[in-house]
Amino acid sequence: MLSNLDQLERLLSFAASRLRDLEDKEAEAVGRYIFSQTMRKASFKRKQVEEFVEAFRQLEAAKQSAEGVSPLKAIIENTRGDWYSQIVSDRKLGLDTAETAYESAIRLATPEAEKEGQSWWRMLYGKREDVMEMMRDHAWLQLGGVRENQAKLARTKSSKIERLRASADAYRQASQGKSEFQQAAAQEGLRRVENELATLEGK
Amino acid sequence: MLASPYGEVAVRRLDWLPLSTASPNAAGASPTLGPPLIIAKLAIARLLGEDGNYEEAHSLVESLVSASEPGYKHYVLYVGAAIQVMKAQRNKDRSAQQQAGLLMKRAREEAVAVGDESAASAFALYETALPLLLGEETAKALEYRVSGLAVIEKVIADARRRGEKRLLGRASLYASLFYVDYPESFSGEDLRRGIDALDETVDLIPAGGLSPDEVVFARLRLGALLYAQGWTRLDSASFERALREFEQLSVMSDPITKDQKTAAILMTIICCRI
Repeated sequence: MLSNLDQLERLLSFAASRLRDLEDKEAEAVGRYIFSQTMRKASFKRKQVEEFVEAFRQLEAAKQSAEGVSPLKAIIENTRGDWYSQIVSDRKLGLDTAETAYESAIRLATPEAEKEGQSWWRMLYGKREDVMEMMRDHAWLQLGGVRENQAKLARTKSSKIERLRASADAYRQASQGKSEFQQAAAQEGLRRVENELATLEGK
Repeated sequence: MLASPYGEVAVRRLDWLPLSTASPNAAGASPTLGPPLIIAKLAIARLLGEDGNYEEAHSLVESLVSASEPGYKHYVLYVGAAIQVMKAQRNKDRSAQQQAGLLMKRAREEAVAVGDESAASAFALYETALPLLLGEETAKALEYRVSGLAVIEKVIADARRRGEKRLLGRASLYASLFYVDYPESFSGEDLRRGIDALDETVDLIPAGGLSPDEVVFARLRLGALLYAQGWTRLDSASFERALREFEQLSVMSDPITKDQKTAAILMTIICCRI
C-alpha cells in the first residue's frame, strides 16, 4: 500500500520512541526485528549507509531483547546469519559472525521451541506450525554455504580442506529437509564441495 | 447518593451493562428501572458480587425476586444472572454458568410477559452470547453459531427499528464474534460481515453502549479483521484502514491495557511493512 520509502518514513516517526517504551521485551524484539528489515530495504533503495548501519543496530537490539525466548531468538539469529554472510567490507569477520549466528539458530530452533506459547513472535509467521523446522533447515543450508565461502578465504590447504569437510556436513544435514527446493540446493552444494575436496585431496 | 431523582443513583442502565462489570456508573443511570429501593438493592447486589460475596449478593437478589412488583422482576433476575456470570468467570464455576443461563432465560421470559421489548431483546442477546463469553465447549458447535446468529440478527433488527443505539452497538459487537470466530467454517463473506458489524459498533461508540475496555477490544478487533481482509483480497484500502485503527489505539492512554497497547504498536509496525 505504501512505497518502501513511505513505509520507512512512517515507521521512523512511529516506531523508534514507542519501541523504547515497551515493557514486554519479546514484543520489543519483534518490533525491532520488523523495523530493522524495513530499514535495510529502504537503505538499499536510498543508498544510505547510515540507515544500513542502523538496520544492523536494530537487529542486534532485537537479539538482545529476545533473550530467553528461544523461537524468536532463532528467527533473529537466522536473519543475522543472512545479513552478515553478505558483508563485503570485512569478508572474514562477516562469515565468522554468520557461522556463529546460524549455529545458534540451529541450536535454538528445536521442536520444543515451536511450542513455546502463542506469544508475540507468532505474529511474524501467523498460524504456521513448522516455523522452527523451517528455520533449522534454512540455517543448515546457509551454514553449508558460509563454510564453503570460508574455505575459499582459507590460506592453507589443510584449513581449506577442514572447512570444506565442515561445509559438506552442513549440506548433508540440510539435504534432509522437507522441501524439495532445499534438498536440491543442498545436494548441489554437496556435489560442488565434494568435487573441490577431491581436487584438493588428490593433489 | 440514593436520593431521588433516580439519575443520582449509582446504577447504570442494566440492559447494556457488560455482564461481568459491576462498576456503577452514575452517568448511565436510568429512571426506568423501578422504585429507588429496588435500584439501590440491585446496585448493592452487584457491588457485593464484584467483591466476591456471591452468596450475600445472591440472597439479596432472591429476596427481591419474590418481593418485586411484576414490572421490575425481569431486571432483578437479570442482576441475579450477572452475579452468576461474575462467579463463573472468576472461579471457573460450571454450576454458576448453568445458573446464569437459567436466570437470564427467566429474565427474558419475564420481560416478554410484561411487554418490556427493549429488555427482552437485551436479555435474549446475553442469553445467546453467554456460552461464547464464558468459553463453554458448546460455543464451538456450528449449530450454536447458526441459531445464535439468528437471535442476534433479530436483536439487531429490533434495536435498529426502535432506535436503541446502545443495544445496537453491543449486539453488533457480539455478532462480529459469531461471524468470525469459527475457523473451520470461516469465509471471506463471514469476514466482511464481521467487519460490517464492527463498523457499526465503532460508529455507535459515542452512544455510550460499550464499557471503555470493550471500546478498545472492538477497535483492536476491527483492525485485526481489516488486516485479515487485506490479505484475503490483497486490498490496500483494508490495510490502510487497519493501520489507521492500530495507529490511533497505539497512542491512546486510558483505558487500554499494556498488552492491548503492545498489540496495537506491533500491528502498526506490521501494517507499515506491507
